[in-house]
Amino acid sequence: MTTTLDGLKVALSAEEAAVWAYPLVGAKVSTGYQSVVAKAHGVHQMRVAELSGRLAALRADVPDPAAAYSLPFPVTNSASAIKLAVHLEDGVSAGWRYLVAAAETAELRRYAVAQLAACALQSMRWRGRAHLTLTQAFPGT
Amino acid sequence: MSPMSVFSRRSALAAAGAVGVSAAAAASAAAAPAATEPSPTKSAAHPERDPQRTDLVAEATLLATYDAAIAAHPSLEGKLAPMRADHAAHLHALAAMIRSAAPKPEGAGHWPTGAAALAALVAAEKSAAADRATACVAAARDRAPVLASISASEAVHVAVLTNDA
Repeated sequence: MTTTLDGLKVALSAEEAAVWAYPLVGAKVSTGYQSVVAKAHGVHQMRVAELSGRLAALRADVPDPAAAYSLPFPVTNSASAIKLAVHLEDGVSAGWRYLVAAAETAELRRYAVAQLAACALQSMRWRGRAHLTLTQAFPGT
Repeated sequence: MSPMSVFSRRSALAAAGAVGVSAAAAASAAAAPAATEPSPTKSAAHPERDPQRTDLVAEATLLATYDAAIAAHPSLEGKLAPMRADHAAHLHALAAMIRSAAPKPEGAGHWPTGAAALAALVAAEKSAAADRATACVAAARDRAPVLASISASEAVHVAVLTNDA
């Protein structure tokens, strides 16, 4: 049976990847989006702290983040940086959706549902900037 | 060792894991439900008493509201069609979940202006997002991710309808 600990670790690793990759978005995205990127980066950092704290409170090991990640496609300009941001928000959405199923308390499931919606909202905003279809029927899948 | 891919592997893992959880939860729930979990649902036997019946009816009503809004104000179709398609997918998923045909409510609503129709849809989506989130928290474990995704989708619809993009 998948447990709260598994779910917290999956959500944490997804958020850590976003924390690692958002600066790459910031390096290539046009100047008009810098404050958006900074804010998003901060949100992901806060979630890493929250998830690490929850794992520590359960006396679980907090796994170290991966040292480096490979990108799904080259990020060479503002358009590809925006596409990466969509990819990141969809990735964290999948992590939170996983935690929804894994959570063993109503409180944790409620928290995961709220975070999934927040990530879906961010994905939609980047989708708009990428001129993609804004909405998804099943965020996190 | 090659560096970890940003999500192309992990999100696949998470998605596959979620499916695995559903299967495992369904299997183990039949044998010995955990104390913290709601009882397994007996959807096949009594679809009319299924706890997700409410969600199915609500989604059907929301879909009908979109149809009525588009019929009354065809100029809204371009904006509303993608969200209408999302709700059709939600309805399909919920019907499959409880093994019941989707109800076909009449599209009610007569809005004098497109703005009034949009305002009605915003209110309906807000309620739907909140109700699906509540249903998710109470639902059996194998159903929770689908309800969570539907709730998140509807929360995004509220933002799109209010141009909060």
